[in-house]
Amino acid sequence: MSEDIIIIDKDVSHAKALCVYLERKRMESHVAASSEEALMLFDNVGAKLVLADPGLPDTDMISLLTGIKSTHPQVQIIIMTPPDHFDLTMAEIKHAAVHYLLKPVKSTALDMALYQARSWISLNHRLAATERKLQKLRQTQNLYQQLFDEVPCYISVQDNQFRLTATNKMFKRDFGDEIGSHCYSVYKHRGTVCQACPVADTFADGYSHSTEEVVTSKSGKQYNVLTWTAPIRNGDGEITQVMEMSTNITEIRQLQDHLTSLGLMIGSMSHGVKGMLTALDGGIYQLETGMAKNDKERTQKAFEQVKQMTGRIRKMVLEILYYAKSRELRYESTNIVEMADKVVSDAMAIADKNGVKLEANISPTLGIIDVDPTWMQAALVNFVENAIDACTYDRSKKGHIVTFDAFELSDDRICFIITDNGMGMDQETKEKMFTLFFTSKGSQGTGLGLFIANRVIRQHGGTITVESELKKGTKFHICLPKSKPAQSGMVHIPETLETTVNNETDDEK
Amino acid sequence: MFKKILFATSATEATDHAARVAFNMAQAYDAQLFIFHVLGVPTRGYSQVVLDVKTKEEVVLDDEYVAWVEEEIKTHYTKQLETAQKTEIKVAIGFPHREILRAARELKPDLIVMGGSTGENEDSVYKKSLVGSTLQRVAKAAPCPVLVVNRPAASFWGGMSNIVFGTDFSKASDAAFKFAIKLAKTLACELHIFHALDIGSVHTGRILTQDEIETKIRESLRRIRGRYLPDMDGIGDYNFEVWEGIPYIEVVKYARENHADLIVMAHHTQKTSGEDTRLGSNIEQVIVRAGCPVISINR
Amino acid sequence: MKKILIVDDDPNIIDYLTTLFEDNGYTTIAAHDVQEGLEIAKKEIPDLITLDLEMPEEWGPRFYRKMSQEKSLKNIPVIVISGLSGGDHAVGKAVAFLSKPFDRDELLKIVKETLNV
Repeated sequence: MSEDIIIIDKDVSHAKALCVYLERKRMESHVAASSEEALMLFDNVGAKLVLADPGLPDTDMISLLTGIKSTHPQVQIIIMTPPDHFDLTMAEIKHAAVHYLLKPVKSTALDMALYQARSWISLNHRLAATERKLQKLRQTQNLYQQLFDEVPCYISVQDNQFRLTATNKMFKRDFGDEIGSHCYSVYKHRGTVCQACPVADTFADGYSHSTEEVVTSKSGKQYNVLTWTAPIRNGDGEITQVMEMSTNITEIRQLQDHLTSLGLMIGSMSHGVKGMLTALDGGIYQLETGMAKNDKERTQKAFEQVKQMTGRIRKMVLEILYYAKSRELRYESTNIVEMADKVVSDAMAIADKNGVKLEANISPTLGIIDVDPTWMQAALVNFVENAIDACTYDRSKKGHIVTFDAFELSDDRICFIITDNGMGMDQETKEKMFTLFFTSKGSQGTGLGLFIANRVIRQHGGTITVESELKKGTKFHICLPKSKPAQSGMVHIPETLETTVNNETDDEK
Repeated sequence: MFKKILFATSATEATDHAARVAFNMAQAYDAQLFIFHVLGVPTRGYSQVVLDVKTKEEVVLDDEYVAWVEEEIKTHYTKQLETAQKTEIKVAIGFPHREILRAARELKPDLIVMGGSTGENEDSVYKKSLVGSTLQRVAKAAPCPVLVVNRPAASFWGGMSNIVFGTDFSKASDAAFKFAIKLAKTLACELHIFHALDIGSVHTGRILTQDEIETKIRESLRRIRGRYLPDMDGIGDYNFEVWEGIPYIEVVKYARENHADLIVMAHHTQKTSGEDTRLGSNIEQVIVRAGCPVISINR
Repeated sequence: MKKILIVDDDPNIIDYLTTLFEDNGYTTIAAHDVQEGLEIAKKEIPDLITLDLEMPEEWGPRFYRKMSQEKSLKNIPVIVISGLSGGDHAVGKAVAFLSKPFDRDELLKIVKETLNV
């Protein structure tokens, strides 16, 4: 393929001579004798080389040439000029031309000039290409930096001394900008490499490793994370660094735990529920037959039974619902005496049914307390019913009595004391009493009642103490502040679960 | 209950254990005891030439020889005969099973007593670990219950206080049950009703889970209650039990555990499947392995 | 008239079963635990026993074990009525297993069949 070159020279014969010479050099020449011709040629021919005699003293060629150079900087212009015009021409054109030749042009000089011009062209070419590549590189870098920072995981890059060489935005946010520090001190507040470090493993074998870890943020908070490591190799394929990505799964784990204990709870409660349902069946059967036989006594008894059983089932369902979502307490100013009276009257029915005497000593001047009345009442009734149950199950003596005392301990504290002379508790029961699912009531217990009652009291900022002796009886001291506490110190249940449950059920006041 | 007992014997040490039981029973129930011996297998058709059972030599059959054999028998059982009251020795010639059945038809005993297996020799008419063909054929066709004392271990017996009745809920078992009840009532024994649940995969097509097995056990227990309990008036002490496993082994184990003095089972006359005939039917295996006498009932 | 012994720690259940059985022509006696159950059984020799599995102190299967060791009691049919899942083979020789809450017609049917009445 031949190279194009534009020759601009008023001296046509000179130009022709050049053409011939250049043809030998395998170049295709296009000749213009005037500026207009030159312009036309220039537009039509994609030549990178221009060999021109500006033809001084005329200045229009000069402006044309400088114009071309400024608009097409990649075009290389070689100027030919007779000796007498040389200085002037150079002064005018200056750096627009790549080379200056004296007319008549010597072939060797021309060759040199062409060579130089071509070198410049190719260099420029290469430069332009390199610049484009550089541009691309910059864009890519930007993209990866964005990814690195915007990914919602902790990403850190460690060298083989376990020093952090790069960290992303989220990491900086929770662990600080700790470039140069050791990963084990930043993630785990340790002084040495962790036991089963996946980063170490990846350095060793070049494969990705995945583990579950517990890390501590700079504020001291602990997170469960799922960690994934990947090797970073240099140009020679050696692993120089390892990238560590950690996804925060704390909430998922909490949810899991919660669901597991929910499942556990439902499993352990099912036996109690079955007993209750059977008793309900019994009540209904007796109701049916009582009515069919016109046996008033049986019907009456059966009706009481059905009422009691549905009450218990209702209580259990509420307990399950309570446990399934964390509840914010809805405080109300409540008359203590009224609430205490209601507790006693609620429990009276069961006490009577089981032949247990229920005595109440409620001081008349207890005043007002800030509580969530629904839950506080339920909790207190739970304690009283437990006391009644303890008596019912106690075979060692007759004449069981449960006392419910309510009095003012101080200006801002009131206490409830629930005493029974039932079967009492052994050491193990006392210790495990408030834990989830622990029940000493066999088929009657759900294991949930005391756990929830305990939580309710604590949420209100109250305290519970127990005295108990096996076979003798039990005494519960429950003390509560009259005003709402500043902090409730409640165990937080994941928001996600709360929102879903809240959306489905909200039939409580 | 037993007025006449027919005791088929070879009059050798081999049948001594059965002899012990036969004599004991005769004494205990004041029964007439026929000691029956088949003299040998004729070599040809109806000829008078026989092979002596003991010596395997050809012998010329004549009255003298028969009398001599009778003497031999008397000598062998001298001790027992001292105390035994009503005994009679009878000798016959021919194929053992035929002769025994013939004698049974004639004498009409209430019980036939036999040993299970005797000689070690290939050509002996009794075999050891399989039920011999004599026993098989007699048990199959006998007109009365057949008591088999297969091993010496099965003969140390002090009396009847514990009977194990093995059932598979068949009609034949019902007949055997009637006998067992009668026996238990008459002798004031403890009666155990036992059913073995066959869990061999050959029969069920696959291996059963334990829950399935225990459900089946419960069903079987219910069946026992339904089928047999109504007829149990008069029985003071009784037990129902169902164990899973290979039937004949379970019967033997159960009997052993409960110190059974006697096992009563039905003898099956129907043709059994190919597999069973190879192993011998359950009762035959029980006979061969039990630690006590086994009574087989076929009608 | 056939006598049924009910063993269950829940007084509501005892009440239910007592009424149910007596309405259907059986006499009943009741016990709240293993110890009481054995004492009453030995004295009264019931024709049938219904047994709960999970009771405070000793459980149902222990009752069955002790019962099987008594000559007078070992052959009395037992129906297990329990809320425990997986309890259906806890007492292997039980006549039947019913889970709580049970179908009362089914229970009556099994009782009738077992007692042949």
